[in-house]
Amino acid sequence: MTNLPSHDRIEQLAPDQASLSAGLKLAKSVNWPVLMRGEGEALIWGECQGSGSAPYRVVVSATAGEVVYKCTCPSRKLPCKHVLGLMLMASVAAGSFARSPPPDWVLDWQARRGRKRAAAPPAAAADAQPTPSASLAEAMASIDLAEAQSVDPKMAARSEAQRQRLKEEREADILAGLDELDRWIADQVSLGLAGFGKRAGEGVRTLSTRLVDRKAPGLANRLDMLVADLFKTPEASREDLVIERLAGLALISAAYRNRDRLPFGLREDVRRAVGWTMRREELLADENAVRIASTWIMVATRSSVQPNALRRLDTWLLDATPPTDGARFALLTDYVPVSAGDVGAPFVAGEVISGEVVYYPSAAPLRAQLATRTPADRARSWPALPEGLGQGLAGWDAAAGQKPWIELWPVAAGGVRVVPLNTARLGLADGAGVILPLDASQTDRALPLLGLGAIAALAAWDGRSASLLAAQTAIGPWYAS
Amino acid sequence: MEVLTGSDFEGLRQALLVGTARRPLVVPPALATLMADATELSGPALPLLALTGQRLRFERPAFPAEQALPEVAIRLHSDPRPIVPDPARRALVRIVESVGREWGGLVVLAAARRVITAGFRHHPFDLPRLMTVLKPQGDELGPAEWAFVALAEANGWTLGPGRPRHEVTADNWTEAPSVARLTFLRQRRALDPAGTRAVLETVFSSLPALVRLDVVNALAIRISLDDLPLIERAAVDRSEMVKTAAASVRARVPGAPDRTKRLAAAAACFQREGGGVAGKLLRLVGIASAVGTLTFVPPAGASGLRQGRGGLFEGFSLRELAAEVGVPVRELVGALPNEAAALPGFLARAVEDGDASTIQTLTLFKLLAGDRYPPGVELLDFVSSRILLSEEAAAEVLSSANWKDAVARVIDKGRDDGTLVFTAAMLSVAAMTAFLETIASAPGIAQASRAFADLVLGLGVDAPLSGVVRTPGD
Repeated sequence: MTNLPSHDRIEQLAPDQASLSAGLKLAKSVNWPVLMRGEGEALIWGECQGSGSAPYRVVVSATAGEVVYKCTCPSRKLPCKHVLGLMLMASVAAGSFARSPPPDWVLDWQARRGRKRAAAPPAAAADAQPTPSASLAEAMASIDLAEAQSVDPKMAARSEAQRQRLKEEREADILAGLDELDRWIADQVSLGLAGFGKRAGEGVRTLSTRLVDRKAPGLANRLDMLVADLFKTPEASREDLVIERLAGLALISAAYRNRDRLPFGLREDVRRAVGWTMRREELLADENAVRIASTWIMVATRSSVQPNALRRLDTWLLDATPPTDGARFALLTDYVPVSAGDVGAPFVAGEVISGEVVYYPSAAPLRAQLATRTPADRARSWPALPEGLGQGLAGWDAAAGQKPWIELWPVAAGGVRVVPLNTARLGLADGAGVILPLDASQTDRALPLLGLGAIAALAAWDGRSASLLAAQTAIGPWYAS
Repeated sequence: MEVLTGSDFEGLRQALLVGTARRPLVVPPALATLMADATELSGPALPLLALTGQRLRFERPAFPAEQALPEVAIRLHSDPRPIVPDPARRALVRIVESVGREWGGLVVLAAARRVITAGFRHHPFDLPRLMTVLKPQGDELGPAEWAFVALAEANGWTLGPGRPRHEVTADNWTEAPSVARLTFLRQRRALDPAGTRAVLETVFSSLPALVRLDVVNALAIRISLDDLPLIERAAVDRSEMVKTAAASVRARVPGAPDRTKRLAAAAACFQREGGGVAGKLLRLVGIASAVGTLTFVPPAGASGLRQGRGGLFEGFSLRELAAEVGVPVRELVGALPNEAAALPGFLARAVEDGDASTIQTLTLFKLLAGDRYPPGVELLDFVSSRILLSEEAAAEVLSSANWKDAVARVIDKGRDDGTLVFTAAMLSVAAMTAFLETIASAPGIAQASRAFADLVLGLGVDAPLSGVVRTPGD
C-alpha cells in the first residue's frame, strides 16, 4: 500500500485540525469492523460504526499521486474524519487490512468514477482532473459538468422542462404557505402579542410543519427560533422581541410576493430567507458575486443547534487588510445534521489564511463561501479598528435598513472596555458612554476581561445584546470559542 | 421630518400587544394613503406590525448602568507571578481538550497544578475552564486564581464578607473554605504547635462541626503528648465525624499509652524467612539480621491490617514502622501485606507528612514490583500525591519490561486508559524526552500524554514536593 498517502500527506489533506484529531481517534481497529484492501493496487475500504444505525462505508483510492475517496456519512467536511481515519489506519497499521476483492459498493463507486471520466471530452477531462488534494465533491462536480456536456440535447431539454415545472410547483406551494403564515400572524395580532409566549407553542409547531410541507423551510426555522429565543430573552424584552420577529416574518412574506420589484441583492436575501438555497458551486460560478481576495483571520467559531435538528456552524472571518473605512467581515455558515454528533469547528480561532471569499448576493453582504485558501502567517495582527462603538452600531443601522429582518451584524471597536453592569451582566463600553450588554451566557468566560483596561473587540450584535467574538488585549488574544 | 411621532408608535405597539380585537389599530393619518394598498388578507395589521417592528430595531434600549469595577478584578491582573509561558499554555489547552471524561478532571488538575507549583500563574483567560478542577484545591491557588474565584462567585458584583480567601488570617480562618482553612491551621501548627494549640483550645467548643474537624486534623502536624487533652476532648465531641477524626489522630500521638505497644506488635509481624540454616543461625545470634526475605505474618485473629481506624497499622507512618522493624523503608514496602488499602494508606500518610522519599519508594514499588504495570485507575492515588519520580527512578521505570508491555497494551486497546498520561504526570522535566521516545509508537492514542509532556517541557522547571500537606480525606 505504498501509494497510499503518508501520515504527513494525510495531515495536509485534512480540512482542519479538528477533523484530523477526530480521524486520529477513529484510527483504531476497534472502530472498523471491516478493513479491506484490494489486490495489487492502492485501494482500501472499510466500514466504520458511527452514531447512525448503519455503519459508514468509506473507500479511498490513490493512484499516480491522486487521492480520491468517498464516505457515506453526512459530514460536509472533505475529507471527513472517517476518510482520514481509514487513511491513518493504513499508514500506521497496514497489517490490519485483509486482502479481498472489492465488494459491489466499491466496484460501483469505481465504475461511476471510470464512466464519468470516460464520458468527459479530453480537454474537459484535463480541466476536471482533481488535484491531489481535491475533494470528492470537487471531483464529482467537475465530472458532472463534463457529463452534462455529453448529454443528448432532447434529454437535456426534457430535464430543463422538468426542473422548471418543479420550480413553478414549489413557487405555488410557497405562496400558499405565505398565505397561511400571514393569516396566522394576523390572528396573533388580533389576539394580542402580550400573551404570545403562553399560547404560541403548539400553534407555532403546527404552522412550522405546514411551512416545511409548503417548501418554505427557512420561514419554518425562523418561526421555531422565535419560540426558542423567547425563553432566552429577559422577560422585560420579550414583548418587543415578539413584535420584531413577527414583523420580520411579515416583511419577508410581503417582500417575497413582491420580489420582482426588489433590487437584486434583497431579492436573493428574501429567497434565502424563505428557504431557497444557493449551492456552493453556483455561488463560485457566479461572475457577479462579490469576491475579496485577502488575508483573513478566523476570529470566532460558534456551534448552535437549531430547532430543525441541524447544527449551525458559524465561522467569523476578519479581513486583515480591510478598506480604509472600517472593518470587513465574512461569515461562513455550515449546517450539519445534529445526528452526526458534535462535528467540531471547521477552523480554529486565531487561524490566519490567505484566500478568496465569495459573498452570497445580498443587500447587506456578510455570509460567504471560502473559494480558495492557503495558510498564512499565524501571527498576523488585527487591522486598526474604529475607535468606540459608534461606527459599529451605525453599521447595524445601515444593515437593518437594507435588510430589515437581519439577525446579527458584526461590530468592531477599538478602545473599549468590558465593564460590570447593574444587571449582574457584563457590558462592552466605549469612552463616549455607549454600553452594549453582553450575552448573559458569556459572563463566566468573559470575566477575565474585567479590569484589563482598553481592548479591541469584535462582537455580533443582535440589536439587544452583543455576543463577544474575540478581543485583543494587553495579555494576548481572547476568543469566545 | 418625522412622519410618525413616538406617541404614534407607542399607540401602535400597545394595540399590537393588547390585541386588535380589543383595541383596533388606528392608522396614523400620515400613513392613510399607503395603507390603502394593504392586502385584503390582513388589512393594515401586517404592514403596521412590520413598521412597528422595524422601528423597535432602530430604537435601542436605554444603555444599562455601569457599576464600579470590583477590586478583585484588578487583583486578577496584578499578581506578580509570571503568566505561564505560551508553549506550556498551548499544551495545557490541548490536555483540556484531549483527555477522556472518566479521568480527565484529575489529569487537568495535575497539569494545572504543575503550572502553579512551577511558579507561574495561569493565563487569566484559561481560568474559567480550569476553575472547576482548581477551586476545590484552594490551598494551591495564588492571588490571581483566588481573585477569579471571588469574581465568579460575586453576587451582582458584591463580594461576600471577609477578605479574599487566599489571604486566610487569624481573623478570618474560620470563614475560609475547608481546604484553605486546613492548610492555614497546619502551617500555623508547623511553625508553633503549642501556641496554635493554645489558641484553638480556647475557641474549640464554639466552632461549627466542620471547623472543629479541621482543627482536629491539623493537630496531626507536629503532634505531641501535650496535644492529648484537646484530642481527648474531641474524642467525646457531639459530632460523630469529629469523634472519628480524633480517634484517628490520637493513634498518632507519640508516647501515648498504648502506642508503643501497638507499634511493637505491628513490627513483630514482619519476620525474616529463608536464607537456609546458616541464615537462621546467623539471625538467632543477631549477626546477620538482613539475611533471608522479610515477610509479613499476620497476628492471630487480626481483624484488619489496614492503616485506618482499628487497623494494625493505624497511626503509624511507614518510616517509623520500618525503623521499629529495623529495615529500610524499601524493604518493608516489599513485605507489606497484599491488602488493597495497605499501600494507599501509607501513601496518604507519607503525603500528609511531606515524606517525599517514602512516596518515591511506594510509587516505584507500585510501578515495578508487580508482574505488570498498573492500569491507569490504580495510578490515581499516586498522581494525587503529586509525586515526581527522581531522574534515576524514572529511567528505571521507562526502561522496564513492565512499561514496554503497558505501552503495547495501550496500543493494542487503541485508547489510553490513563496509563500513559498518569505516568507522564509523575515525571519530571528531565525524564520527559525519554518518555516521549517510549510512546513514539502510539500516534493518535497518546495525545493527552504527549500534551502533558509538552506542558512540562514548556514550563522547564519542576516543583519541589517539600512542604506538601494533605488531609486524609483529600
